[in-house]
Amino acid sequence: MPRPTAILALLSIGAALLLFLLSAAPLAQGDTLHRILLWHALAPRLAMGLLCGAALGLAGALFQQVLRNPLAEPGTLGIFAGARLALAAVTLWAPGWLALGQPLVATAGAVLAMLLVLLLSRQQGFAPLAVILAGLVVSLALDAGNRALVLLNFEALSDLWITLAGGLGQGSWSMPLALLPWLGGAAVLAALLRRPLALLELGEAGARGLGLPLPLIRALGLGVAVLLGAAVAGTAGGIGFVGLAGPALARVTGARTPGQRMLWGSLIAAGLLAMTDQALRLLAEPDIPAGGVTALLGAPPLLWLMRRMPRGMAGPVADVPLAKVARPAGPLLLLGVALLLAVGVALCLGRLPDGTWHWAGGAALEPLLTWRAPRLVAALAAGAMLGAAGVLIQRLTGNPMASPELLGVSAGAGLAMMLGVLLLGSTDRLLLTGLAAMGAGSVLAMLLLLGRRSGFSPDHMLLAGVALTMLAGAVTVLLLAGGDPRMALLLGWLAGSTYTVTVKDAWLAVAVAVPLLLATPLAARWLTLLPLGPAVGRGLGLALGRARLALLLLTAGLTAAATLLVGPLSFTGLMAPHLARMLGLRRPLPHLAGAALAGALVIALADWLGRTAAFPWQLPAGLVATLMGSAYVIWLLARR
Amino acid sequence: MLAAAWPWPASAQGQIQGPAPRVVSLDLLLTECLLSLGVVPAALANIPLYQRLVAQPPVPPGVPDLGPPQEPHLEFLQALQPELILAPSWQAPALERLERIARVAWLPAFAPDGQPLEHAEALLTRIGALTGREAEARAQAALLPPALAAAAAQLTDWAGRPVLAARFLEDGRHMAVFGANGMIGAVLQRLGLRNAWTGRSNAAGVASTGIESLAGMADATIVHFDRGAETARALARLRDSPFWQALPAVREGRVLAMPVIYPSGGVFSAIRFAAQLAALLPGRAPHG
Repeated sequence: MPRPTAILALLSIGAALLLFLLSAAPLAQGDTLHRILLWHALAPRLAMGLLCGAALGLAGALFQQVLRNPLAEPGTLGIFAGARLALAAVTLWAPGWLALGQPLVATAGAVLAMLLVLLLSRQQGFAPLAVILAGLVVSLALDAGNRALVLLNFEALSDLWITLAGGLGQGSWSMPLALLPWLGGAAVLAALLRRPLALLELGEAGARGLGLPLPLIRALGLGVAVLLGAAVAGTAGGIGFVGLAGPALARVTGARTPGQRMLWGSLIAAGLLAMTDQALRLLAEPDIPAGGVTALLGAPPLLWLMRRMPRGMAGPVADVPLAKVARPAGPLLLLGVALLLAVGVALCLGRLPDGTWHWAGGAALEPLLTWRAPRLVAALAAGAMLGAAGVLIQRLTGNPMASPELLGVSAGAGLAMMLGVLLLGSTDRLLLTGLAAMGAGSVLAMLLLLGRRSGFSPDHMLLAGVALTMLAGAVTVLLLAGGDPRMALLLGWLAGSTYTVTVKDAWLAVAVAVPLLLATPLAARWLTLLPLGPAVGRGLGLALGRARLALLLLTAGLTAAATLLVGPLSFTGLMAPHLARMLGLRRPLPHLAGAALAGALVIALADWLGRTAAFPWQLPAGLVATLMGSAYVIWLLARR
Repeated sequence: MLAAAWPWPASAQGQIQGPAPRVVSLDLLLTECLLSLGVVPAALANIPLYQRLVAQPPVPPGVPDLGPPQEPHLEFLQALQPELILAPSWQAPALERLERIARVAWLPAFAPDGQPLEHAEALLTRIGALTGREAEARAQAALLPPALAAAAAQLTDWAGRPVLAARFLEDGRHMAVFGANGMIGAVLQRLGLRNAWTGRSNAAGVASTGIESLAGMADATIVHFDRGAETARALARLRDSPFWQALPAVREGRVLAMPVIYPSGGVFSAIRFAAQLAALLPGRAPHG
């Protein structure tokens, strides 16, 4: 038994109990109502905190062991997103089904999400990288669908936001008692899986040599973890970071075997969540949901953990095909023509008030251009910037699922804006844009500060970005739970709306995009050398740290500018580089040019679709781009 | 072209001084004011939401939906050729381009000084002036003081008694409550009732809290807004809770349902709320 780990677990659970006693003591002396409050509301709340924390910790430890990825937890694998989407859809279209119980509906959604993830990674034998990439795609897609539902039905779903904000308040023992058998069953299964899971660490060949059915063990481990995550998501909602932090803390304090990490990781997680929730119960009035707060508190420890992690821990690196012979002129011309067509359609094709389609030309187009042109120009600029940024980050990290949003720059911009609305009570455009720029800038500065020690290792940069993105997500949930109608404005921006773009904004977008895009070819040599590995790069005279720094700055600049235009959520930075590569553009320069064109194409089409598909209602371009992109990726993966 | 497609129906009241301008509203409160003055709008943002949350006065048939209040479709709006757009002032920074389509009246949707009823009257008067319905606005606003007085007279036994206005969320664990800076809290105060919720609330006068906080308001009578099936599910879950069953209000039958009132509503909603309280409470003798 690793002693520091056990001490940490005891300390966190002890702190939770102590806080509970502080609020319980006066009630135990009170009248009947207060004693019932204590035993039937506050005690189940403590139990709920411990159980949810333990479930998430165990789920996190299982996910991390099976996927060999320290970032794996229910939140990052589509479990929470699947549960949320299922509950939102059922609330809107089949509210009667809610009588079956919210946890059951949530579980159905989570299981479907995970099945989708498994289906997508089946042919790779549930290999770790394939599963985590599929999880990312499914998560993004489901959350995009969820945002679309919330935007179109803000009031109908705002209650659900409150319910699933991660609050643990209870009115009876029914929820903790319902959760108990899930956790107990999962614990037994996890104990049985403990040894086979440990052998996974031998690697593919070693484990196969021992005759272990690898896909079965992985699927079992994942299945148990999914059920645990879904049970929590359906009762209290998404609770971020706990599932990540518990096992991670167990590991740093010396838990070596998977069994130790599962046991102590879930105990630490239980203590962390219950402690946070009990502290909130004592301090906060009205109640603040613990789920949002754990994510807030979890970001700094994650950043700290990240700095201690050896290189290469952030996940396996995929091959990036290099310098395949391909004539770039053909694909680039194709993308260019497609882009021109899309621009034509976006400018001319719209709908009349009665809903019929209408192609406007000449004089009829003139009055419409004042509405259509600025947002289209901004969309094109943002799309091109995100496409180029995607190429930079994917080549820099050697990871085809890296996306510029993951650097956290967008999240920083979003956080600053939300706090501006909430604390300053202002919805002034200029002020908010300024705040967003400051937010993006300070995140960038922080990344640079943190990254200096690791020589700007891409893995570390991505980890920091993920932490910040999750932080911003937690703040969003907290703010939406407050129910301020002004948050609807931000919800539009968060979903990538081009609605508010003015002529001045459009020109500014072009003025920023052009020089940044023109600077990207300067990075072409670095982009060729970096994927060959640090040793080869150094051998060829590459100043690794400086090259990474320059590429990071450029990526962050492109992303920040695009975020200010279309919001933080966009699949484009991920998709556009893939599209360009599939067309045969593999060398850095053509790849950059192709991805910029493809990015502009995707967002321009998304903007037009969002404006016309649900007329007179509209969906933000970023959201439509995400839906389009994820449908495409799922089709692509399922076909393979 | 489109103006011809939508004939100009006479107002419910009939005695109008000349036709009102073609008006569009982007906010539920502003829509309530418009409709209570007998104006038939050229279009409204999010009609289903109005019907669900405000309900009264009803939207006249045939009024087109403009889409989401934060992002009304600009091309659609341009084709409608309205003469006046009513929009909440907090949206002004995002929607300033509407001014290229028609005159926009940016109206404060939240009471800035914590005086929601005075604010609602002023808002009604402004909208009356903007739409040429000053007389209707005066008449409507003049109804509020006697309506409040009449309700207060029926509730003299209840003076100083704690009442909690709430809406129970479907999960049976949370509820929305209403602070003094919103219309609901202000009406309670004018009727001489004591608002049992004394905690914080947001700019619209709403807060969400767990049902455990009912322990601190044990003597309050609970008046909650009934949203039909959704509320029925909430109550079914609450009945499973020993804590809920132990509440004095529940044991003594002091949990009363009433039709939905828009908590950020104006004069019309305030009059309805007062009347509903006066109809609901006197039948139940106050405790003690």
